[in-house]
Amino acid sequence: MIADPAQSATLTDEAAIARVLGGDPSAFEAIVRRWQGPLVNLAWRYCRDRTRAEEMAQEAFLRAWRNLAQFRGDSAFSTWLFSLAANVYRTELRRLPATPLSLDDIAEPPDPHLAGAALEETSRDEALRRAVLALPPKYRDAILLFYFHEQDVPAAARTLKIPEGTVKARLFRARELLRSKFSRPASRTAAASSPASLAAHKEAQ
Amino acid sequence: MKTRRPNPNFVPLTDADIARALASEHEAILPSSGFAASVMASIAHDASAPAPIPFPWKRAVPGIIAIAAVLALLIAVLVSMVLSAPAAPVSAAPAPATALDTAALFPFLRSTQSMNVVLWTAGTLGACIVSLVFFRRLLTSR
Repeated sequence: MIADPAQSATLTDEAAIARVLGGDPSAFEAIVRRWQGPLVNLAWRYCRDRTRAEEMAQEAFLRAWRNLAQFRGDSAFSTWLFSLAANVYRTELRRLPATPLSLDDIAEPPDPHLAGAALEETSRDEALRRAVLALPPKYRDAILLFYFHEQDVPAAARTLKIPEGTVKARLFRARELLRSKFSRPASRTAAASSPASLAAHKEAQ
Repeated sequence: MKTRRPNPNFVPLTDADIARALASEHEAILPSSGFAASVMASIAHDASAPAPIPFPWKRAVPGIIAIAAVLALLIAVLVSMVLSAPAAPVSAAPAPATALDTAALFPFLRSTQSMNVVLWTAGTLGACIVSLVFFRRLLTSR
């Protein structure tokens, strides 16, 4: 392991890769420390289980370590790493799906007056996040990576290795599927002018 | 997918509703404190493991070439026999095609000599496969 944590933190990805390929496995720690947050977060979005997310992220790092020599530097290291991680997570979910729910099984709040508005909104948001996992894999991947990359279509396209137009089409279809299963109380209109709303429409334009 | 009856108290979600639910600031979790150490431990274990034994291509190439040659020979023999076989005589009252008639499908099998050639070729190929399987088991059991 790298003895000095500060040295690990200051080592760039390129320098760490060069040192690992030169026979110093401990240099990989710099990469792990820099990218552990994003990779665990991405895994969390795929499975919504903290323990499993860390296991999946660890497998992704191990795969990155084994295949580091295949990184040619044509794209950013983060693009290569996210693409590899997304592949690992997809394979893992095929082996053991994250949720036994289907879109048809996801409950909709029966009446807006039965629960407080905030509580209802929170539970609906959580149900919606779980519903994303029940989407067909190509729509699920598009919507997960789009929001993981902070609504950046080109970044999602690079991670998925598909054209931007395909990502947009899959996002559209994914949202349609979610809209067909979820609704919100008719009285609430505040979200329309929120920053999140503006960001969502920025991508659509 | 089942369709739900629309509820007049609800309206469909907007893109903004979906974005708010899935946006990163609502989603972020932090890795546990020992995560990086755990990853590095598994990498150290992986690095210390002996490298996998590569497939012995140099030793396998003669066997692969021999199998390919036998297969090519067999195909050539079969093709030449099919091409040189006499056409099946047209019968005035053909038998009903209820059972598989091997001789009708492969006219060259009518000749005893051709049949012998086919049997010898098949026997040789079988011997090749048996010896290949035997040596493969011998190698993997070591």
